[in-house]
Amino acid sequence: MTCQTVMLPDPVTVLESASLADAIDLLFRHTIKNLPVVDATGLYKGLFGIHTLVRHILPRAATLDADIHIGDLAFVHTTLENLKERLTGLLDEPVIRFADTALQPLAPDMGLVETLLYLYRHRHNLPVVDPHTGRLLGLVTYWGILAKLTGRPA
Amino acid sequence: MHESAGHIIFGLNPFWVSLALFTATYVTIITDRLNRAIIALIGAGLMIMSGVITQQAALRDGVDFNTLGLLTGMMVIVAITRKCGVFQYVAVWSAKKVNADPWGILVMLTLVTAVFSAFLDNVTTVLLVAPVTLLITEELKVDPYPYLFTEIFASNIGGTATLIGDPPNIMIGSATGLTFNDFAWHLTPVVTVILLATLVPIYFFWGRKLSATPEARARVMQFNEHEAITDPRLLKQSLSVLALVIVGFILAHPLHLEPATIAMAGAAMLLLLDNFAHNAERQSEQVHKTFGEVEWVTIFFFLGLFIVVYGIETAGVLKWLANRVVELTGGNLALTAQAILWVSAFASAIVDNIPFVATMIPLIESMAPVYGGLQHIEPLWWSLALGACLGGNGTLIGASANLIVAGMAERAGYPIRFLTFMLMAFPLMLLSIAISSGYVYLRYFM
Repeated sequence: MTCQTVMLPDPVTVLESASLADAIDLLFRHTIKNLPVVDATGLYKGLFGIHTLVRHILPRAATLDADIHIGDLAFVHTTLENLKERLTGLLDEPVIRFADTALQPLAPDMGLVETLLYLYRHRHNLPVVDPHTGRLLGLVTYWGILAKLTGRPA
Repeated sequence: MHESAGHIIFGLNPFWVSLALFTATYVTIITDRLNRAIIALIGAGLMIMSGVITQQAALRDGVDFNTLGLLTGMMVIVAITRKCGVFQYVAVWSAKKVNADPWGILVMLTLVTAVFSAFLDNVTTVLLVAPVTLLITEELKVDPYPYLFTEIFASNIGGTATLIGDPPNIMIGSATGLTFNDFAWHLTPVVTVILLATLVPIYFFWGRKLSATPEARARVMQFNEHEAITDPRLLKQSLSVLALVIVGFILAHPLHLEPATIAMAGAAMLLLLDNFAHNAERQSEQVHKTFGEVEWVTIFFFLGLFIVVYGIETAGVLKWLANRVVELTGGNLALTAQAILWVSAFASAIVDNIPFVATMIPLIESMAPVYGGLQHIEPLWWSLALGACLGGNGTLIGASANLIVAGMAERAGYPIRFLTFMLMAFPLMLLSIAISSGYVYLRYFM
């Protein structure tokens, strides 16, 4: 059994040229956490989601990498208005700017256990991409797996 | 006493074998194709296996364990100290002290970086100060480039001021017996002048154009530096140990203690304070993590390098080179001091200053008889320290701290390009060397 057994075959996607505002709209409308970003021909470009969005609202220095010692930012006092202002400034930018393009997508023949391990380690939904064509084939989600395991609709 | 193995490979001349190995090691380090610790260890191994030196002599006379101990001890102390958030506290406190004025913040963070660098290693300093700098400049909506550029300079300049501020000074102090107080007395004054002088062109080039809105400054003023301290108890423990270590360095001579002993004792004390209240499992985890933050790559790089340089020293290469230098300068000490200062600066701008200084130390020692003995060549050590440390500001590859900041800036979306950096940095480095040149002449030869 492979990841294709548990993936959602027709996930909601967003075009790379769409604005961040449009992408956020889609997240709310479909009550989802992640959106695969594709180009006009359906080729996978990256994964956008709440996690990557939060990363862009945070100060850049806070999300560089583990070697950078900024601390826990307890000393930074900011208001909801300041954060809103930060987000508003980004809404017209193309969503591809906020997508995780470095994320390694799953291959369609990846085994089930390996798929679950990837899901566990990455802590967010994972795209399944055809390695030869680069086309998005589906999305492996926590809810999708839970639905399959419990026999509920996804 | 320099001891060779007595059986050089293929019966070759040890002079040329050692020189070839040394050159190959150096050139490979410069190409940056391989990790420098790997190169140094291979060079060291070949120096011993080829018969130029014995393992026993290499470890007994070649490796400077005082330098290794001092470096390791200070790395452990810093690894524990930074957990408490004191560096973030100082950076935020200093920014608020000038009411979040952009130019004021640049000056304060420069001073903070320089002072930290004088007592801790430059790489750790910039790893701790640069992220807070990026945070503050992002909040102020100002270009972080002038801040990061000046912090790079400050880390190298500040590190020049004391015995423990920069590896070249540690090596020079260890080889010559010059103390913490000697370095403070001879280098801190000129370093202070250089730091202030560096800020002048930076003000005219960038400083006077820096501005932020009152709202942005108000947001920075809302930062609460006290909340940057994550462990008040550890803060007190770390600062106490650091203070004791500094006092130890100051009193090292009358106490007949080497810097490595002082640093390692401080590290052991802080490890004890940080761990004694925990159970065995937690202690093991913490101690492993602390030792994991020691830059073992740097330590083993030093180890290998010391052996490689000892090889060419044993084979007489450095004595030969020293004689050539004396011929070139006509045995004039003042001229030799200036030559060492300027050559060290240019060399450090393009190559790693650690192998350069490791080679220069025995070379300068070999010159001592010409000038009446080791007690007369002290100006040469100050010239070497100034040139080797300050030269690192000349290019982006001149010092490790430069590359660390550049890498961080790149990841944050503010790349620091090699040529752009050099166009401003090289003249500023020359200014610092010119000031040093005048200082060396006026202080030791007038």
